[in-house]
Amino acid sequence: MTHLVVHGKEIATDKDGFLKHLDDWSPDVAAALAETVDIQLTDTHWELISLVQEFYQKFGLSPAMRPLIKYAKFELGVDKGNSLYFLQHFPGSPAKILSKVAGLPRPDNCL
Amino acid sequence: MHFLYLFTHQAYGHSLAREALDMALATAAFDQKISLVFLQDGIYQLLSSKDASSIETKPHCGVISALPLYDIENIFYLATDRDDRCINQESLLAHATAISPSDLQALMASADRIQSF
Amino acid sequence: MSLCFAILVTGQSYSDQSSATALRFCKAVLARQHQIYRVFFFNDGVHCANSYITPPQDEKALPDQWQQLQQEHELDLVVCVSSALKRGIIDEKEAQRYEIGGHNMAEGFSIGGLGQWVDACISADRIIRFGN
Repeated sequence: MTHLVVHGKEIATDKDGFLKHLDDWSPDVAAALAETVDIQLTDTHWELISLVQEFYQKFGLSPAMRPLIKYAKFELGVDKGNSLYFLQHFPGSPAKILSKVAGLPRPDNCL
Repeated sequence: MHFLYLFTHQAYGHSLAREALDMALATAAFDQKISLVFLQDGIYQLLSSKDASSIETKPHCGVISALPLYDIENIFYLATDRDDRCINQESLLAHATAISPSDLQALMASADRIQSF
Repeated sequence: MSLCFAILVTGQSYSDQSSATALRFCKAVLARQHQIYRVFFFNDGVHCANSYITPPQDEKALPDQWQQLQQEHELDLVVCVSSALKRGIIDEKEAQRYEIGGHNMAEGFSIGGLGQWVDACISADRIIRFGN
């Protein structure tokens, strides 16, 4: 089984690096998850992590890219609510990587 | 293309209510025009009350509230379904609009693809 | 005139007549020289792809019949991934991804996403759902 080690504790993930047990999430686990995709978390990363967690709290969904950007535009303004800004922070597929680092369920394969 | 979805299941009795909404979300991702009509008991999906924890389920209104973020803005119900069930206008999510049976007929006539769940 | 159909199956096999009706409908459509763009198994319809289904000897196994039709007509039988995983219908690839010790999706079916149903809706002349 795949796992991360954070403060000596084994944290189980699936093969794509998503947490198996969402209760395992903590800021330190987030940093470790980010490291698996070569991202060092800064304050601006954390702002987006909080945003995606808030999205999940509100809607019960791990967001796809388009609704996430729309939501960010609304909550953080146009300077941050655009895909370039998200790509700079979480290169590749920002919505998917953010869901992983923020401890959300893996986004629905269908959407 | 204009996709019209008619939803007739209440929120929690059968998984089709939730999974059919996922289908609408997927359709939106393909840049299609989408209209949703919550018919008959389907109108209960539009209730804004948030707590489903007593049945250990995620609240259905979460995904309903997210619809505009997925570019689904045309959300309707029949005023007659609301009145038949003695539902207060105020307890329904604000972004849903009451229509008449003849509006529904017009909507169905204008749609290219109609599916009901 | 030849028509192209997109078929959505949402009925549970054996509990519900609808998936057997879908199968018979597909056979009838093909026998009349129409086409089937895709059959999409969604919600409880995904159970149609369970290769472990073991009916009594005097009843036909529905997955076998879908499979046979698939082979004869090169049908595109797509099982919705999120419906399937929740209901324990798993192919080899998903079994590896989730580290599950076995897989039960019948041959001839493939795992896909809702996008493939939307594509079918856009491309076909008629869409028909089988299920309650």
